[in-house]
Amino acid sequence: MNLFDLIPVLFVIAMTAATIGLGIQATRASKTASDFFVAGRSVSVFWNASAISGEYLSAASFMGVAGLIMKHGYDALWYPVGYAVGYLFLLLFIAGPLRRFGAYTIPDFAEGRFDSPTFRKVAVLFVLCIGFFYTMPQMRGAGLTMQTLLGWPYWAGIAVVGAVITFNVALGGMKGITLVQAFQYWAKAFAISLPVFILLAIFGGYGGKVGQNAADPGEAPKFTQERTLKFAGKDKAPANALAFSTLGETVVRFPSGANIDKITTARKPQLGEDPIVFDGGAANPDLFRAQPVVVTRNGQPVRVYGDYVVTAPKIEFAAPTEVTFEAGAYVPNSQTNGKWVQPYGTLTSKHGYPILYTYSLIIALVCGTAGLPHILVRFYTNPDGRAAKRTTLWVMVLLGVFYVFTPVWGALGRADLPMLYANNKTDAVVIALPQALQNKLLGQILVGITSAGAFAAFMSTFSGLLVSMSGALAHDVYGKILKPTASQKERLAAFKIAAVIIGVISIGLGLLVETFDITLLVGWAFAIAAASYFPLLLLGAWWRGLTKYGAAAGMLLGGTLSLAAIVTSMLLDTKVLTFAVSPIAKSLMEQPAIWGVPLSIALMVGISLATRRHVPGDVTLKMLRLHAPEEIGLQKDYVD
Amino acid sequence: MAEFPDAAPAGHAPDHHETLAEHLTHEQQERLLHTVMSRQAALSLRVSAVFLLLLLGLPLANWLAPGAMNALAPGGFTWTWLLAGILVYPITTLLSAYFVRTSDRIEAELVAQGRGILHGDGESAAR
Repeated sequence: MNLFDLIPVLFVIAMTAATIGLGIQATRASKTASDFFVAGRSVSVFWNASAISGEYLSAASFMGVAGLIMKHGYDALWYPVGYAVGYLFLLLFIAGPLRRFGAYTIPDFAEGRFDSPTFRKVAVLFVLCIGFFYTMPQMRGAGLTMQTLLGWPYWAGIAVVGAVITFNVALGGMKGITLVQAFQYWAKAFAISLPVFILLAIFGGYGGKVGQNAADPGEAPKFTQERTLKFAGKDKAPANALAFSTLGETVVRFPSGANIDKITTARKPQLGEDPIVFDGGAANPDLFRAQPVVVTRNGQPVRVYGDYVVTAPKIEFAAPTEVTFEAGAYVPNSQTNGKWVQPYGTLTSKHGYPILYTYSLIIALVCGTAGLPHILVRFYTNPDGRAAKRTTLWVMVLLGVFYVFTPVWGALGRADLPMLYANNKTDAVVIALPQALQNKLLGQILVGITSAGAFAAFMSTFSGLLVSMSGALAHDVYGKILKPTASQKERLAAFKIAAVIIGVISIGLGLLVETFDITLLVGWAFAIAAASYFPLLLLGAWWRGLTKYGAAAGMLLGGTLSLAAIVTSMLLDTKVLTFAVSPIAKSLMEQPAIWGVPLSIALMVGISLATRRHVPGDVTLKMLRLHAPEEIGLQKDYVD
Repeated sequence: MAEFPDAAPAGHAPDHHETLAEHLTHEQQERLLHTVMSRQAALSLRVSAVFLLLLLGLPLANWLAPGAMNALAPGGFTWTWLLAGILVYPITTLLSAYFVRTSDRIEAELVAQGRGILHGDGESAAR
């Protein structure tokens, strides 16, 4: 390891030290239970907006979105769009009323709105479930980043992030992390944008990179020089796949005796089509000639809209293998320029129902964002409902500033580092792209900046999750269910103990998910949130007819059915389950929001109407507390 | 002429906020709720309608008019990339800013009206 390689590590250490330092600094002001749970309800609009944005921009946003856009092109633009504009719904329907209700945690709202202690338990369950699904990818991101940068074992990065944040949260609670998260937003905004300006100056403009795909839609990225790349084995499936281009012959070399699991076609064969068998390597075992083949049915070429349907071989290795590509060869696992830059490409068209898939994805992201409990709880830290609305507006500005840069990384990656497609490493584009610079010193400084940004992402998101989950355990489970008579002091102690317990569990869960996909796990959290908390808050704030039975049924069924669908879909992808599903059913399972959210809302409305006599007697008063401006003087802190 | 009936009797106006609302009759609560909710709800629905039209209209435009959406736009982008990749952020920010400004204005008026209902002050309640 030479001196330059240490630069990124120094950046990461500096970020970690700043996090601990700021945490200790902020902790001095954090004393009462109100400080720990809702930062004394005294966080100003600017600080809260920075802190919410800092907490929200997670590993998935920092590394995942850029990678997804590089991989799928236009289709993946819906991710940053949905992540950002979800806050508009939060602003229009939820932020103000939620703050005015004056609770400490989201389960407080659930119980207070329906006078139902049982419903609090349901709500706590969802806080923990969404929280842990969201925590696992943060931990995994931390483990992988330290692995890539330092060669540390996978568990080391997780242990560092887990320990630092658990320390901060246990010491200072919500007040202790607000300043840290706000600082981390600015660190992330700086880390995603500054390298982009330098890279654009070196590699050329953003619009041009997008436009060159549009100008040459039939082409695809090629290797500019001979490259030898490492491919994963079967244990990393489906990341071990090597699907060749259908545009021309690709010749690759790999060591003879390489352990190939199977060779199939890149395009899934459909019923009635003639089987295709590849034996490109038969004559010379260490040379493979991948040639595109026209798909036939009963000997006749299959046509779609007049064009021949062409496929190419797909190799899946059983064990890790090094493969050498010639200069000028098409990069495998990449679509044509046209499919990348135009809507309805590889992401949304994969099951043949691109419009359905696109709308369902948009609904999941928008409604999911508006239903994430660890974000919602931060709105309680504002002094009043008006400040909560202003905060949301500023969150949208800050998130827009961040997300507008993520597609630039994707477009630059496709144009200037297409080899990331070949071995399924597009997720690492924010680190790999600066690494590829000619000027190694500049490159390593930029890697340092993006790595520190990534670390800020794991830490700030995890700290928010930890506060939200510890709050749920200490306030809702201990303070409300187990020991309602607990004193302020006891609740505060419970918060600290809960933080340590959840911190340890999170580290443990992080160790289990090394081979999972980051965006997949976050997708689960969004799908559950969209079909559980979003309908609860929307109807709870605006429809007085909602009863606890309706709300609970909608949350439980909507949330769990969405989760079941998405998990089944994943098990089918990884071939743990092997039953046949139609493409439309597969689309609906993979992106359940388009039926999950309406189902949840319909259940809430239907069952509430059937149990009308259980509408709380003082519902008018509750609605007044939710909506009346503070100056009228109807609010009371739900919890003293 | 006051639009709303008198609220809590004089001298009964509580010092502690949390008890204020409980002293209203059911009918007074309903009136107050209607006043504070209806205009806010109308504003939220109006802004969300514009927003949904834009957000859900974009995929539809991509499907129905791919030629125009994928045509070259200023800066070298395609039109649809320019919209979904860049312009979406300032557009939603403008919508939010409009909402927050209008909502603040409504609330300021509601405070005057609401106090009127609570204290039977005819002048500020009659609007």
